[in-house]
Amino acid sequence: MRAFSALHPSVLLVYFLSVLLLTMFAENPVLRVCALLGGVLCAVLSAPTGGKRKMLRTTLPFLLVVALFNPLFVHEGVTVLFWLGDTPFTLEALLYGVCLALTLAAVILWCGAYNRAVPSDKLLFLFGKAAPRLTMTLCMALRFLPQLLRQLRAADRAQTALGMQMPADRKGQIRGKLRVLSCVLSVSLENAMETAASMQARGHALPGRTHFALYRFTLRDGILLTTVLLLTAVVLAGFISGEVAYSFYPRVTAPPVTPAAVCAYAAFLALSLLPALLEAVERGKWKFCVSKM
Amino acid sequence: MEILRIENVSFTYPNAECPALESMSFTVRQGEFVVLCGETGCGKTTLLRLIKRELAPHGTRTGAILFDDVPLERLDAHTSAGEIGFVLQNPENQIVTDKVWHELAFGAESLGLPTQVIRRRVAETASWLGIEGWFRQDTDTLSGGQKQLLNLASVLVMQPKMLLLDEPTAQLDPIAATEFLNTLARLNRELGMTILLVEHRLEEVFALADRVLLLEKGRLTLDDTPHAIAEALCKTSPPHPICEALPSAARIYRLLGAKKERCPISVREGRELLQKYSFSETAPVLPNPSIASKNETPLAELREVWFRYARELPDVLRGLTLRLHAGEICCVLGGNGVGKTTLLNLLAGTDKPYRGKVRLAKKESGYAKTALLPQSPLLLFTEETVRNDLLSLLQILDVPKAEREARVHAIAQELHIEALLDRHPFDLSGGEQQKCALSKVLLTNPDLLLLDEPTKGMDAACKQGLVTLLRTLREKGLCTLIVTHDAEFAAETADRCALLFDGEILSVAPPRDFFSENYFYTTAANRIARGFCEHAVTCEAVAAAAKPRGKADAPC
Repeated sequence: MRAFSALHPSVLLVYFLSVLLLTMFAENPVLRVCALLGGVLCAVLSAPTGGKRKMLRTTLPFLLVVALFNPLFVHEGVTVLFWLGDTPFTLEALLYGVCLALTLAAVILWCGAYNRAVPSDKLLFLFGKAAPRLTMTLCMALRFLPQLLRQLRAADRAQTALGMQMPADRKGQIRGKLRVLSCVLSVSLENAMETAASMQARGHALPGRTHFALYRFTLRDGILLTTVLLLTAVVLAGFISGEVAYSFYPRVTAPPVTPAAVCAYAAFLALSLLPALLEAVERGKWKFCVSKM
Repeated sequence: MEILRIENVSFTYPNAECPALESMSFTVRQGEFVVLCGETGCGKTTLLRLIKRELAPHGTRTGAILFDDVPLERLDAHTSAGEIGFVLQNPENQIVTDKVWHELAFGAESLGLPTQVIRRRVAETASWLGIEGWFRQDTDTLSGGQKQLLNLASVLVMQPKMLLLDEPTAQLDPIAATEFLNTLARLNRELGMTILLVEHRLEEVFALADRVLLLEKGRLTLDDTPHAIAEALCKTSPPHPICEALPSAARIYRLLGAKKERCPISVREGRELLQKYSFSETAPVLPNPSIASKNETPLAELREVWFRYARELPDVLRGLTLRLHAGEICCVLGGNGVGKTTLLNLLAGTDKPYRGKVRLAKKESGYAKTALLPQSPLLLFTEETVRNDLLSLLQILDVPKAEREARVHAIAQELHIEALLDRHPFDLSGGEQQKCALSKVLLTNPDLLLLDEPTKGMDAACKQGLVTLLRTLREKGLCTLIVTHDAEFAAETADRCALLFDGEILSVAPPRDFFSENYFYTTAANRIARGFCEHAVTCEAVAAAAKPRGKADAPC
């Protein structure tokens, strides 16, 4: 997904916002399957292998549970598959559950893709122009937290090695950990004094702060942003006109296939496949170039 | 043309009895490289901070400080922030943002420069300093040396006219420190940057500086060229406390008591001086306490130890073997990230090897005890005063209440920290913090003391104190394992030195043999004496072996 991540942060933000929101609010199973397809492709193209396996292991059981819980607790729908005691187990509820699980999977996948494509600094950059000081503070917080965690571990280690964490009872254990925490907090405050000095020395208090970032908005970004907005508009039009409206209850039916609905499906499919498409084009170019060299 | 003029400046901190600075007057010309030195607490940092308006300490100041002929108070805020660059001691704490490129741009952002200008300045600074390679990295992934270079770079992006640096190399390993100082020298030479540097490690800066200012108790006592200062200091008696910090060449000169020659301040000049002397074949063996024989049971032993932090990460230690005996001081040297700290953690028991054995000798009550002093001693302090901190440790260790006061008193006396007992640990200087943390560690009555870079940020006098202390502890049968970058310190302190490289201990030998066999990784004294007196690795040893030509040739 290098081709996609290299886009301007504003394009990325708009893109992910529209895909995620559309996915969450689409009832229509066709749209949900499109979203899932896009999400899976993104994950296959970009997530690290170890991460993928881990994600599958942890989310699959969860998704299964979601798919099965819905029919166990929701008894709407007219197609009864079988009776559990005196409660009906309906096809509609089962399909609804499966669909919900797919949506959840899609959302998880898209959130993962978002995290990989838009690291914190890109997001901060987007707000940097409007609020440079707030952005600076957030930036510092982003650096501070991992640092604090590292120091907590180091202090815990140091004090454990000295025998300060070997209490017999629970109370003593808690007291030991509190000691580590208070020590690290004071050290952090002490360090923050020096950070403040370094900021002061570099004129942090001066009025008229600007915000610098590495990103430039190019023509390519403009074209892609327009495309994203157009596709989103088409899908939204389908939503608002009610053309893609769908409900599992009371009886499961085929999704609508009017021309307007098909347009919306196509638009959403194109939208969710956009990162994969860009990636494919890029890879194709590379292959072509390499074969020429 | 002078860029900075200090006129009769005195400064007193609020509630202080005596002034921190007294009638200080000097000027700095444009393009000069000036080194400010003096003992800890002599007012170096105060003076430097007074020159940078944004960091000026609270208190009352008299006299005038003029930058570019304008009094500091009347400088425009942008000029004061941008044209006077300031780099502090701790590389880590000065960094503000999470990305290297953003950190570079920080100062320029403050000045309110437009994006295009910042882009160009950041680019040219990064390429001039050769940091393009890690331009897009997170600041957390950098080494200490890289961090300090980044701090310098982010000041340079503001295009200052003068740089003030407050012990910028104190927290760096020697190789990174040399690299940093060379960058400063390059700035001075190639760009004509005016530099005012506060340092306590004078080995290298003397050769780089145009002028040295010596501060003593808030007064400017010497202001001259490095050669003249070194010569003046070498000829005072009793020896000035700062003498221990002078470059090795100058210290050898002092010990030799040479009078006619010019005082050398670099390895090259030191070698020129030694040509005028003759040497006995080998350096006299300095009194070296007996090292336990090989077959005696070791106090601690690492046998074929393999370690890594996570399954998918590379091995840090690969088949490391090391034996430690009671009553010895062993120094492990090695570059950054070779696993020196990991070695200590294994012995302290906070990490476990996945292959191999860590064995501690059996004692009457269980196994031999280890105690680790981590690199940042502050992580050990939990109370408001040093005394309470020590008492609380004894309480945790279940020492009877009646004994506690006495034990704290005893340890404080041994380490000469009685005066520090009622102060807050954070208010102490780096060396004092180290000492207090050491006393805390020693309260656990360890058999094996593990020290991680104990000399970091210590001045020469403090280091000397540590050497003496470690020797007394050795007399008591304590075994000390020190992990350090500091070759001079190791040469002076250790009974055995070991080189850790690529996860293994490569050579273990007494410092005399260890350093004289090394060509690069050795003390400055040894580099000066190479070819004259191979086995001398300390200034004292070189001086002891040398005889003036005339006398040695004469028949007895």
